Amino acid sequence: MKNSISKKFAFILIVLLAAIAGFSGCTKADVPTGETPGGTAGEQPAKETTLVIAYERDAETLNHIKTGWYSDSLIYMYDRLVSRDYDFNYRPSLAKSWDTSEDGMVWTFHLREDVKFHNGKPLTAYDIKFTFDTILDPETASPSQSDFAAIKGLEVKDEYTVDVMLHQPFPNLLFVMSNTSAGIVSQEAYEEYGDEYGINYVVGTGPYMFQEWRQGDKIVIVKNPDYNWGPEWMTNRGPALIDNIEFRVIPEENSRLMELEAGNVHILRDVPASFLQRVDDIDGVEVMRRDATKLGYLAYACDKEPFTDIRVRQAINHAINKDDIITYVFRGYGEPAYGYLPPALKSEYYADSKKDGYEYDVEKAKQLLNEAGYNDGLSLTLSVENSTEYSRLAEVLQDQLKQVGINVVIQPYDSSSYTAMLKEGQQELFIRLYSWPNADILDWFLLSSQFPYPNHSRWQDEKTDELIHNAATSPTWDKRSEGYFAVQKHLIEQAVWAPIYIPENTIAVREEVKNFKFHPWIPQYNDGTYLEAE
Amino acid sequence: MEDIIKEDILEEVESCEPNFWQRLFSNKMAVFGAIVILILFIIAIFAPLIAPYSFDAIDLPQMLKGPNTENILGTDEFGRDIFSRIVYGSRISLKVGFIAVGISLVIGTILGALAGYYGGITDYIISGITDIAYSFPVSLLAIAFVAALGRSLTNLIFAVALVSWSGYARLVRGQFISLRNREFIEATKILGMSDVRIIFKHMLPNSMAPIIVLTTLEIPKAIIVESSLSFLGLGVPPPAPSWGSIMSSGRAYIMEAPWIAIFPGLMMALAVLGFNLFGDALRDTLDPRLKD
Amino acid sequence: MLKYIIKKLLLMIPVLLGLTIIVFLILHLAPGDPVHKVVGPNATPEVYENVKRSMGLDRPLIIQYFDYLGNLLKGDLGSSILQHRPVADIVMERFPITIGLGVRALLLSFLIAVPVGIIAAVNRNKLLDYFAMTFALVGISMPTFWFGMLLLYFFAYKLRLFPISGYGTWKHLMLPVITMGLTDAAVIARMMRSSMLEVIGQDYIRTARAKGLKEKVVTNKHALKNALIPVITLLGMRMGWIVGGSVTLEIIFSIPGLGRTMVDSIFSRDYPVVQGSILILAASVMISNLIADILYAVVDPRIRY
Repeated sequence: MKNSISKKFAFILIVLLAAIAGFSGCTKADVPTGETPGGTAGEQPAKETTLVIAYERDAETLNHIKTGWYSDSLIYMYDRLVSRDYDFNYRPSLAKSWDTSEDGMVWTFHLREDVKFHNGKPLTAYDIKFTFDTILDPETASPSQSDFAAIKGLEVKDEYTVDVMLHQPFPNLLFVMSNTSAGIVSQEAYEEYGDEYGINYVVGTGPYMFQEWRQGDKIVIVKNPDYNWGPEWMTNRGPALIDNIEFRVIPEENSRLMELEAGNVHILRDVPASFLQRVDDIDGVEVMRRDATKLGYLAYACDKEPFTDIRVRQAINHAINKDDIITYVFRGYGEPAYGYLPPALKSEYYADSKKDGYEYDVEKAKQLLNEAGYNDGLSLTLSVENSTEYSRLAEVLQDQLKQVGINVVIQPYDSSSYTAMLKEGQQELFIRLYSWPNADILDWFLLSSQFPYPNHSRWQDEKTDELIHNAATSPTWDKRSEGYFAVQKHLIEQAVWAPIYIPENTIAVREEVKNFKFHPWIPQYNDGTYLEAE
Repeated sequence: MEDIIKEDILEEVESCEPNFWQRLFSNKMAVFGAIVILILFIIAIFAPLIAPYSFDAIDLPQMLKGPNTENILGTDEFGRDIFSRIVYGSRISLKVGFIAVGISLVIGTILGALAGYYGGITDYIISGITDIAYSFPVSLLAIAFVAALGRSLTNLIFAVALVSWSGYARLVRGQFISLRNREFIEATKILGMSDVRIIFKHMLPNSMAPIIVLTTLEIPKAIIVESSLSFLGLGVPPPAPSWGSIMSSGRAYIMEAPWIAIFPGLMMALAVLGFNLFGDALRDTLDPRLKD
Repeated sequence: MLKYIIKKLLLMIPVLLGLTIIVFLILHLAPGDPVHKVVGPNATPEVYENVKRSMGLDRPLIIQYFDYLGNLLKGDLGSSILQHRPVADIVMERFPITIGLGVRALLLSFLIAVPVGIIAAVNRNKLLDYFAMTFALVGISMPTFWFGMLLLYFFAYKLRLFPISGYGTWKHLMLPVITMGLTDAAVIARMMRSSMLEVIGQDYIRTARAKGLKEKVVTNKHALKNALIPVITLLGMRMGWIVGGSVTLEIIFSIPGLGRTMVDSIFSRDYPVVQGSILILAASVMISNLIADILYAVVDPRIRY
């Protein structure tokens, strides 16, 4: 008797548990995506517009000081001292003007006086100082610390004036001040929210405010109705026309495309080249293209055999059929690269890159290899990061190198292992892509002082060091550019890399998005873009 | 009591060779399964003769073509012939499947034998671990293993082997426990035979039947696990044409070239089906009670 | 009975502990670390070392492990290295999603498989049987993720019947639950059938028939109850398989579940999140096994504790 009662009990208990577990998944609000709660109480709100942008991965944190990976939402929630206009020129943003001292060691920024944070408090020079002090403080362990390494300190002159003191002249200061990492935070809010800042709270001065973050699913930001300090080069300097922006996380490539086609997603950034044609063909979707400040290349460990021989390096350069790669791997979206900087860098780009560069020539490649003593061919490993684009490129390169007698084994890595492998110097051939809008990327990758990482090409050359040093410490931007031309020319001659392709910045936009402005860095949704009501 | 004696006799009768094969192949499913397995082996062994192209023959201008006269199953994003890649892919699936299951078999059998034979503490510990591993989502560990330690054929095989060993351990243990008390084993003990000899010459051979059945059912499982790992991007590095890898890279093109993802899946389903059918029939023929 | 439950629960502890050691070893012996993900590709070695130190990742492994263990025993799962927030929060957000999916799939598979298995058994070797068993065989032969892809392609993309991605309404759950539920149903249906067949052939059923009870009554009451017993133990085991399979489905259907989080964290070497998710997933599988054991004891009159 006792047994069957206790058994019945147990049975009921289990059924209850199962039911609870079964319905537990429904606890998170059943709010269908696309709508956000809002509108002022009392009045009948006009239909809210939400722009949906799809991304492959979620943000790690919305505190840009603590991370090296930035969610796009950060760009709209924060403002920076300096902005860059549609021609990539430096223009005022939070700073209405700036001047440099004679010796170039002190920059003074004069701030706008009408800027308010999302919590209503005014922006002052103290917030500027706080932001950069925090970044530079070793205790913070900020990944962007090195970007601002040239800064010795900041001093508040008065409520709307701040001085930036440097260790040495740094013509590139405006560049770092315009980056996402330089978003200005509210000292009060940052200190108040402590660890929760960037997760549950984000307080900036930008045209959009933080609303919610459903981890792994989406980030939603809502327009800042008090925004009135848009940069002068924008047509709309007031509040944005789109009520909400939703940054949705959809890891599956084809799911993102399907959602775009279905109209659930309005914008896709960085559509993989192999899909661009297909996406463009979709009714109601337009693909916009723009030169990118990126360069993809095949690199090798220059201090290891056989790469120590310049003929081998040149042979590899000759073996690559860049045109085929552009046509078939990137479906025509992109350009072959012959030099070390992309043409989008305008003033810094060495115009003779193609002329000095290496043409596709299988016979020449074989000949050079023979001269170097490798007529029996070579066997090498090609390390590549696990993403689909790189893998495709790797397979094609494997095939092309085979034609000149170089047999390649592809070794894929996930990104953590890839970096670890490079740090340990185990690479032979490897594929890289950089995305950086400044010539100093060459310092980064190719100075001897950067050996062995991030100088994973393991290139240690006095001449290169000398040329780069001259360029970087030039007194004016023009002289600096000239200096970098010499650097690029030298690198091409030495075949330090085998440049392959320059991808395009592509963005797929649905027709419901009107007045879309394709900015070279990132779309400026608050500059008059609006959604056509369905 | 009667039933037990009846079953014992039946068992003895059933293990007589002449009847066995006839009964096995009178089952239509067994025939079908055996044929599929045979075809699979032929395809794998004679791949270079059967496949019209090499599995890594890149022909970029031919990319993403649907099934046509030159490429019966179409081409992938590099212009490689899907049919040829699937044919060569059978080699990987069979290799990983057999080797991984082989490793599982050896490890699992040894552990199960020890547990079943010695009993006591040995049994307690081993069967404790085994029971947990059996009901555990070992595939998660397998994923962790390959994701952390890198993609290679060896890592893949070990990861897949992780999944099957507990099945063998449990089976062999069960077999040994029931055999342990049989008269002829008691006899060997009285005769003073060494443990090793008893295990290997007398107990194991009598357990072979269920082990074989389990093997035919574990191989398809291993093939599926391997393809899942490949699907997650953890399989053998390119251009290796593992069916899972082909499906994985095919899923990006599912809107414009669905054949890349669909055909390897069909092939795999067929292969797995063949093994399952044959294994089922084998089990039914050998001993209908072996369902577990 | 209670003793049995407690014993099983206690046994879970050393297992989970062992699990943490294994996972810890695998993660830390693997090349790479999460610092790269935090600092980004363009960081100087100084910044890198600084960040690494602030995370405590430069300490010897043993110390790191015992530190983790110590916190674990206090109930603290640690903090995500990349997201700067407690692992417990992350797990509590994602775990219900994965489990919710799994339980629903299990229920669905049961609802389908039990009747199918019974019908097949009762109509042994007739057309209905062959039909059902063929479908079941196909079901266990198909890779789950492939099936999921097909369903996504046809029902979500082509026919627009279900959403393509995301999570939030019952519609989002339909396809993954159906995918998992159907493939799992195949396994259970076969089991159900063979269990049913075995029971039908047994003595006490013959006795019941001899007593003159109607055929249907015989089938329903006596056979069913006894046939269900081994199938119920299957419940717990299938949970393990389902949790394992949810990883690929969460990726295909873009569901923010714990399985996918675990895989992502392995790739980004976010150690605490990996540890936490594997622990919780493993514990949930073990608990469902326990529940299955209890159910088994409840349902089988022959078992006494």
